[in-house]
Amino acid sequence: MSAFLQSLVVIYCVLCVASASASSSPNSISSNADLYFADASVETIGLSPNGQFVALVRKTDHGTTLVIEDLDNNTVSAQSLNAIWQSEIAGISDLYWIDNEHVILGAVHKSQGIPNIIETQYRANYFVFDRLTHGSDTPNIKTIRTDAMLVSPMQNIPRTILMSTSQGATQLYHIDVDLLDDYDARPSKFRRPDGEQFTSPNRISDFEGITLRWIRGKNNEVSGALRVSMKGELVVTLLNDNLSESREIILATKEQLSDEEQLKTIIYPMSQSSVSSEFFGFKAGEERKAVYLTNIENHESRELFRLENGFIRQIIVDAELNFMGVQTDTDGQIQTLYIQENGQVSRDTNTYVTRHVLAINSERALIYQDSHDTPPHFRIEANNNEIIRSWELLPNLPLSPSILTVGSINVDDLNINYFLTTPDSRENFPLIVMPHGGPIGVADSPAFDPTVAFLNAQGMAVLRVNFRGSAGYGTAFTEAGRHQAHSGMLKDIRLVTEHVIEQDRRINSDRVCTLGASYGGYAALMLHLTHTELFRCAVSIAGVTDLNLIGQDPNLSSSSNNFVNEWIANPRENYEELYLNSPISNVTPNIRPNIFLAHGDEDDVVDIEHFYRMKWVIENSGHSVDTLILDETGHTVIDASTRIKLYDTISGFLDQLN
Amino acid sequence: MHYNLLFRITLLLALSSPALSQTLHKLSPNNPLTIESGQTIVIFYFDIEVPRASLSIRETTDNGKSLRGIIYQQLEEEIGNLENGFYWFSTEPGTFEIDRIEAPYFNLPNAVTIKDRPNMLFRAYDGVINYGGHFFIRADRSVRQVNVSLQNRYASSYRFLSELIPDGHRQIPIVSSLGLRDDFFIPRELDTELGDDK
Repeated sequence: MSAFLQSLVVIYCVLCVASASASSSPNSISSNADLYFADASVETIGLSPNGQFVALVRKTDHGTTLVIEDLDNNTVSAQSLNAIWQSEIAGISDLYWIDNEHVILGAVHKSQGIPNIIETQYRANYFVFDRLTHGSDTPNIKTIRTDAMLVSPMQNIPRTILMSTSQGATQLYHIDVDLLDDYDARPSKFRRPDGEQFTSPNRISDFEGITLRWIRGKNNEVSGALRVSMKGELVVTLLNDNLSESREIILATKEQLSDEEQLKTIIYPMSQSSVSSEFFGFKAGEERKAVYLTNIENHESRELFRLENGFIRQIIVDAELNFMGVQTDTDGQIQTLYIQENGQVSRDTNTYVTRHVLAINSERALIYQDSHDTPPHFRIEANNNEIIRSWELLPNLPLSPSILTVGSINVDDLNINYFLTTPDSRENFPLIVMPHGGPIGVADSPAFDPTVAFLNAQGMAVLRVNFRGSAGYGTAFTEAGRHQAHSGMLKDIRLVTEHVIEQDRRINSDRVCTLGASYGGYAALMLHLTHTELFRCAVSIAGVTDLNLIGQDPNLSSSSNNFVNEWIANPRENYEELYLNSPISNVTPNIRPNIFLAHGDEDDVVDIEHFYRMKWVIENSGHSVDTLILDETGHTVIDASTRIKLYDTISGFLDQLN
Repeated sequence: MHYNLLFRITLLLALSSPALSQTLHKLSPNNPLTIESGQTIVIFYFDIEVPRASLSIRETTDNGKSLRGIIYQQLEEEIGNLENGFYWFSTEPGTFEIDRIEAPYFNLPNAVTIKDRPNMLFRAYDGVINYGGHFFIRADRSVRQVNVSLQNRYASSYRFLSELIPDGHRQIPIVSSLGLRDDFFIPRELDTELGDDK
């Protein structure tokens, strides 16, 4: 659960960042950018098994704090994590309730080094907090010093957790939290750390190779592992109830894994069924289009459900591990389908609300939720759906309703989907066309996006297009995007823009601009420069301006370089075409460009040379360009004050549309 | 036999005649570029994280073979001890390759051999100021490797370079002379001087 929470926060941060940065005091901002692009106020959260307590990690200007709230008695206790580590917290990896009294927290903290003398080091540690002493002057805090990973709390043994080490093999240990060392105790030279528990008496399983994923059975307990053996085989290890014995089943040989066609037919186990050797899973080559029940011992499998459009987000099983249904995502629309044994399907209400149940017991559930105009938040719901408590990730965000329209058009026999978000209480509004980055295997969704909400609140409509090559529409659609970054993708965005202007007469077609980051910045610039009559201005954040430069960038790893060459731009094969279709080749003295360029000075994905080339070309054509260099910033904008400064500046640039 | 050995040593010395000046000059407002008649100038930006790093450069023919046997020229200074910034040296016109980098850093492998990397090539054209690239060395202990890169940052560097070149040399064009094809800044007339194998 905690890893999932982490991914939510990361996704949320990427949304913030996709849009990006410069060091400046938020006090000087003129827009409301500080409300939309601040750091999330809650990093991660967990609900105790009895549903009475919530633990959450808050990050503020004063540091990182573990807060425990008693929902029944309305009491709160807090403990500064910086005070424990006496160093900067670089990230939280896990947060679990072990039982109703203990919380385990995994964190990475940073010890600043001295250049060329002592390296800056990042250390990951687990700490166990006792709820009863939390926030007191003498908190009872234990630590785990061994380099190990938390697998899960052990449900059937109180105060015990399951941890794994991986030194050439994966070893599972059960760890009694009461026997761990106090966090401030000095390590002993005569005694192994962690109460000498990472030793053979506590070892309950040991298998070679690299563990990819733990497989969970009833009550979410570990029942096996999906791993790659030392021989390069894909193996499922099944564990018995007390985890002491295991048996291995080869899912695919090394030869099968290296054959592209055979690889596509492998069914990856996602969830265990009521029979120990049977799993529900997806076929590798199908992009989550169908659910299979597969018996890994006799390799027999049958298809349980197939989705026509979209992809399957989640397989739903009941407490006895019987197949119940799926949660699907079709053009951003999330739906739960309950599937009977006879194949009959019942559906819940169609919704564009993102909702994830993170923890549940008989009385309460912990839920993450957002929608296009509902900011992300965690909430505790009772059985009757009453909201007992909620925590906003952006607590000061004003309510700014908007209308979401989901549609599609046909371009070159491809169904191109789009999301149009319009202000609720205005007509004759400007339109911002916002192409996503990537461009391959990435997609927009109707979920909350701070950039969209920020622009909507300023009275602008926002159009996002899942052009060819975007994720979530099947392999053929992804394949249709190969080497189309400078052609077909731009065509899709332009034709959808013309379509929505035609359909929605409230849009002022004389006030259309583009805004994007990375590939989105490239698309924003190209659409403006080649169709100035439609796209009146462009905002490019960390945008590619020279396709040949990115196609032969020496800073990219060889795998990234191969990906760029195979999917986006290959200067060895079509240098001239890429040159002609780069923004740097499309500035002319006759047409005045209306462009804002922003770029991080430490961008190691799209080098800042792209920014300077574009600036050079525009200025040498006798025009001016608005620019912003983002100090100490990479390809994404991590620092909130930089992000706020960036969007405040963009807001000033886009004021020309109002 | 002694004659044979003497012949070999003489030949080796002859083959090792320097094609590359061993002196790096830092460009700064107080130390601007000075070009003597007939000099061919190459400018690099060095951004080196590893204190004791050094590199070797050899001249190549356009098909990648050595022009005059093996001519290793260790730069006089260890570049790792240089402050970050623009440096220039003079050489004869030709095509050169950074072919070996020594970067001792804690427990990392300290030699980085450059093999089949066209981006480590640069050219020295006569009659222009050659921008050779932005040269990084970064030590990354988390993945136990030393990362090196010769990045084309001509547009990023141009304004700074222009300010460091005194008025007397302003009429000499600054050209991007990295090995990878870059039509954006290389004047077309230069293409024919050293062949068209960019």
